[in-house]
Amino acid sequence: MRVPIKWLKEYVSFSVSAAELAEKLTMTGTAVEAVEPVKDDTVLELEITPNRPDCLGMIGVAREVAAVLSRDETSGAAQATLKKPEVSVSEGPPVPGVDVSVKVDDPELCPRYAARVIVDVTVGDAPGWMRDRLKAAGVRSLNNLVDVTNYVMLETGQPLHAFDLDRVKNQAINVRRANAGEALVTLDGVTRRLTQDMLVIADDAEPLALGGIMGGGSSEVSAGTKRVLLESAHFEPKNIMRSSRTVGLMTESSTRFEKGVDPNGVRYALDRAAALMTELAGGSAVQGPIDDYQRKADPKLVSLRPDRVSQVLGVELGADDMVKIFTTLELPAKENGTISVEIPTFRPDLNSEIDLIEEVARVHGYGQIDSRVCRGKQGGLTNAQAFEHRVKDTLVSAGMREVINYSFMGSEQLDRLTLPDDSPLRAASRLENPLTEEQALMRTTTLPAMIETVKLNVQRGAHDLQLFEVGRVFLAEEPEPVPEERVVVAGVLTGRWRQNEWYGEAKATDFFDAKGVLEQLFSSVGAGKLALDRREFPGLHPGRTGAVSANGEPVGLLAELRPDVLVAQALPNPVVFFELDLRKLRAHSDSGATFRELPRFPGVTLDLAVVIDEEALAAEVAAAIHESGGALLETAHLFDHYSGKQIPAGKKSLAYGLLFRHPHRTLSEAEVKEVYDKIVRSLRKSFGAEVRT
Amino acid sequence: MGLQQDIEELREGARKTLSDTQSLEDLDKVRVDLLGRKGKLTSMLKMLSSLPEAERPVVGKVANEVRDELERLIRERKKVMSEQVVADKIEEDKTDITLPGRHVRLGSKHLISQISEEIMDFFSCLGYGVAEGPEIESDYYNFEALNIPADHPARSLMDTFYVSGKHGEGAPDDLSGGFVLRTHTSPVQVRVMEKTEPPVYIIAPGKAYRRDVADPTHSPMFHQVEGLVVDEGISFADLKGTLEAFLHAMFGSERKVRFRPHYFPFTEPSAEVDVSCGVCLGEGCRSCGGKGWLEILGAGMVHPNVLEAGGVDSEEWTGFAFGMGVERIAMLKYGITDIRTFFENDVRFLEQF
Repeated sequence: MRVPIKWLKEYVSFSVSAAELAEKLTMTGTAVEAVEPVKDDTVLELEITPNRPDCLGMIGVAREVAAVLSRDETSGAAQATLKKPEVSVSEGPPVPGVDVSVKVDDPELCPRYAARVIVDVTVGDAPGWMRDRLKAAGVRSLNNLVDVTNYVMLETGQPLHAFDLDRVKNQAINVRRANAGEALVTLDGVTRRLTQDMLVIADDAEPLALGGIMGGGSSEVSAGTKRVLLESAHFEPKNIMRSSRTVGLMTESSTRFEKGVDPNGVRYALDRAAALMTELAGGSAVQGPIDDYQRKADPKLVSLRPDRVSQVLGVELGADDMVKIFTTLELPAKENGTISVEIPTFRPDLNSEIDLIEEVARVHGYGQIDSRVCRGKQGGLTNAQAFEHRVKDTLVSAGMREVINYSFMGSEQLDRLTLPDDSPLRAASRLENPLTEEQALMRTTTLPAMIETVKLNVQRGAHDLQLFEVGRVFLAEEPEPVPEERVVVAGVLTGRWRQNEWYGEAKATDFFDAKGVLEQLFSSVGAGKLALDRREFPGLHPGRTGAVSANGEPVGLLAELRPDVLVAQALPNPVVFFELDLRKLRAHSDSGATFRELPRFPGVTLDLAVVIDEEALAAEVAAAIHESGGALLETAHLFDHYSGKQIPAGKKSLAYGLLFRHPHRTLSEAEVKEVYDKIVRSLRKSFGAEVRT
Repeated sequence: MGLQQDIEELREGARKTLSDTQSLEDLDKVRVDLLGRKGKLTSMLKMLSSLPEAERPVVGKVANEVRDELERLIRERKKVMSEQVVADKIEEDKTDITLPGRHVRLGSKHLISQISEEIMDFFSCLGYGVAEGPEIESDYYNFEALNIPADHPARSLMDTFYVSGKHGEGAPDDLSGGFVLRTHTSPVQVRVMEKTEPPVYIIAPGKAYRRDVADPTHSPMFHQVEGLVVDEGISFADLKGTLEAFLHAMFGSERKVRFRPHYFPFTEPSAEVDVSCGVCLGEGCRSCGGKGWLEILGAGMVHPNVLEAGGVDSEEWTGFAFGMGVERIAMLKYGITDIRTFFENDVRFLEQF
């Protein structure tokens, strides 16, 4: 709402500067977005909150100004009082041929419809002062008739409409719901399809206006207009809002009606406009005002307990002070133990005690309220949240950078991953009104978003990426009506793990860097040993994909993307991806560490290298070593994995550093040899392994 | 006089040998050769007893002098040579210490996570718990229960993402009702009140969604932190004091904080909270659009209707709530001008924090 100061001063006089007034208004709830100098005036750009439709007119703003300035001792209460313009309509005698009838079929949607007829008008330009004010307020000047309706709307907040009476068939106004199939060409030249939910102002033949939203072209006032039917009406807010959204038309009029215009201000605005019209366009008002007011709105009483005010605001304020505040807001108030406040119909926002407490608070000033800090008895993170933080901290210390991707995905992204139609990852929640097709689904996996993030970075020349995200995926499996939200930790790794350094060569990131990160994560959260079992998933490299499990329960997967998927999407090779369900991982985590006595006797180390079938799995070999090594084998550390020239085809060499120790004494050479031989026999038996010498 | 002469000659020879010796190893050999159990001087000393009684003191004195001198020379020589060895080692080890160090690679947390955690830490210390709620939320919790009934002007179809499915009025247990991507973290307020008897002190960080095309100041997804206190005797004064303390912790105690009346359907009285611009400290400058103040969060006393929706007697208990955009705080704190930067995940951005 643009408020030119000089115009405002028509209704309230004050001596403070525009800047001071702006400050005052801002601090009492009417935020001043800008103070803008124009021609020979200053315009305040006000942000009117949706609960204050009364401030969508100059008089309402003036009332607010009077209230907030009168609280300010320096400006003096006497200066700031509201003056509404006196209105007297020069009514002429009845004119033959003028006999307007108004019939309101739906008083629910149009509780009040008032009108006047003005004859013998001369259409021309409005006077300069009016055009200047309209311009300063941001409204384009058209002609004296339309300008008057706009001027009075800006003044009172009551939208008005002027029809060319000679274009109203049979002078018969019918306020009714639109009929199915009806259409209206609105003033902006657009043909609007109407529905039965919409209220129209019609004549005997057809709709003339979309009530409260916009007039129609057929009955528009024009240069040749001689007789005007001036409408001032009240429309039900919710219906205006729905209709305005349905036709996609928001106007100065509809935004006011949908927030709630004062039904008891209809007549004042009508008369004010009629008086201005006869003054500026000549002619006279001939047919005594028509006023169909079927649903009368009355002021209501709301009571307020003064001690409740102190309780909610934490400020000591006397009941008489509160009454004063209400009085300056033109809310008649009486104190009798409780304060009884009469709420005029121009304040639809005041319905309950708390609404009145807010009025007291904002006019008294939030700055007048003391500050105090209250404290809860116990706070902190839940276990799940603490776990999430721990996961993030561990991944950061493992060299990963956190990203945050959008929670959306598109089905094409899944196509590019070659997911089949029946993939569970396609069971996604769909948005009814997505911004784009790529953001039409709620993600069931972070993979598509991670791929996009890799692409963006690679395109920008950043190739070395070790990224992770902790966020939700949304699994919409039937028959659950609401998708299940699961927190996952996901990662993507590509490019170099280390670049060329003066002390060493660059190292490319591969599958085992990612696996190492996950093993560190398992170790950090106490999830035991990470197990990885080969699996096949669409889009993922069949030779390098595994289900990650903790204590035997699958918690996620770790995989390289298929080489053909990488090529098709112009991605670097390899791209390693993992995604784990955080809740499942937490279920297998044990944050409580246990203490073990430090070893008191020296251990004995021996190396063991075996030549073994290429197909043998390292995890199984290690398990066999431990099983046969028994209690005396403390660790078996794999330090070499080799296949090549020195090894027969189809074989590989695995070398372990074995550490033996007895908790209570020093082991003899013979004891160690015995266990070592047992391990060798076991590997030979299970895997056909031969010791490499 | 033979032995004495031999001793003197030995001295002369040993002096020369010692001064020529170059390594600690050789020096030790010389020492053993002269002074060891079978050393030359030792043998000579043993021969003293075979001398006539009268010569013994004279020769013995010389022999002892020579022994003392040689021991001293060896000691001195050893010291010089040891020092040389250390000096050589030091010279050899000398390196260009300005070469870069070897790194253990560290990753980084996203700035949004860092700020969220900072906020959580502050309120944890004040005894607030951390609550969470679903991102796909029912119409009831996202709007209805927050005093935003259907057709309320604050509800705009344009701003909300609707999740496909049936649309209904959405009562709390009626899962057939409409679902939306939550437009704010405020639904957590009601969910917590339903489950918890007051007093309630919680904050709820999380993602929220609005149907805004991404541009420098809009993003269809963003992060909020919601706060809710419900306790006996909570007043607007508690809201002010708490948020002032928070904003001073977040932005520095030199920043001013002001509370402006505003309108939110779920709080009353409501406030918008501003901090003075960090560049001009309230004078008005280009970075704050000349206003001197930066809008930082929304807050207010929990509306009685919302308390009642959460099953809390609004006569007995009062409370305050607040909500802030994490991206906005990050942008103001670090001078980031485009909200999309947070979700592009360009590593050159991620590396900075």
